[in-house]
Amino acid sequence: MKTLGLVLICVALLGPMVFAHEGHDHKFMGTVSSIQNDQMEMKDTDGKVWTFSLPDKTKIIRGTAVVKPADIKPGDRVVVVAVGGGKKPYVVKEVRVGVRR
Amino acid sequence: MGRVIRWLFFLVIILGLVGAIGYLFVRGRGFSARAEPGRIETTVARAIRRQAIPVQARDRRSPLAPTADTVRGGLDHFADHCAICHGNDGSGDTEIGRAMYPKVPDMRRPDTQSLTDGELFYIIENGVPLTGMPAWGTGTPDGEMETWHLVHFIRHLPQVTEAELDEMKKLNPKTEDEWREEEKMQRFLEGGDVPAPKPSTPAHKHGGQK
Repeated sequence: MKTLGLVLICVALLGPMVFAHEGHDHKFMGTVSSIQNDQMEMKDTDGKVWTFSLPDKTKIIRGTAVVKPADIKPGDRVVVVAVGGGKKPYVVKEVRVGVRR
Repeated sequence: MGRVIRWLFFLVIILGLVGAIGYLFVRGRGFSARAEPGRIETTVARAIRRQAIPVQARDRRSPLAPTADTVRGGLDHFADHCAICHGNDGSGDTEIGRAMYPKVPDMRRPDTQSLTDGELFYIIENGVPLTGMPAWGTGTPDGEMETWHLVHFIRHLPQVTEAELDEMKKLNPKTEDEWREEEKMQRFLEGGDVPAPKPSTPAHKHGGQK
């Protein structure tokens, strides 16, 4: 019986594994084109347009203060740290919002 | 004698079976550090780790008073040595932390916070075999004091503030390129000139960065 238990533990250790690939952190620097709900579109400094997903846990910082997604407006300069890419949209971990001129 | 042979035979069969399952598993799926350990593996590994820490080490108490200065000492050290894997906030949500097997734990959660001070100290000093956690112990009294500062900071992680995280960002080790990149982003955010577009953009840098 003990041996059977040992076998079951060994099999379980080799059991199903979930593969997840969040990939590298990517940094983007540009100007917000639009923002609504949990999506933000940004044109980077090379003129390329990127679309990001903004989950609830995204940290948004202006200066040293944490702000809400609603505080980001089109025209704001931002530095975005995001993971993902490829076939999936980038998921934003952090947005640093610049001062408005 | 016959009983021993029967048991040995049984053992060989079991080992063969486990080996065959392992072989089929590896052949079928390959291996990857991106995988997540299963619940049983995690539970067994943590139980073994707990049993492997000597009782007297587990019961050790910090010789330092839990003051703001003690936490601050741990913060500085953590930002410089630990944050590259654990993240400044201890979440483990870093490029290295996410790609390890097992993944770097979120130290703000009860799995870590429920460890005794002695266990945390022992893990920092001795590392954890078969994970990415190295043994940081130097065997010196000064080294031990640094580790106790870290233990106090780990206890503080669930209450770490945004101001502390900002401070830590300045203490994180950076290459010269990373400092230049950081300065460029800061200038951009403060309304400075937009960097000139480059002819091509490397795979993991976007928006005119190096």
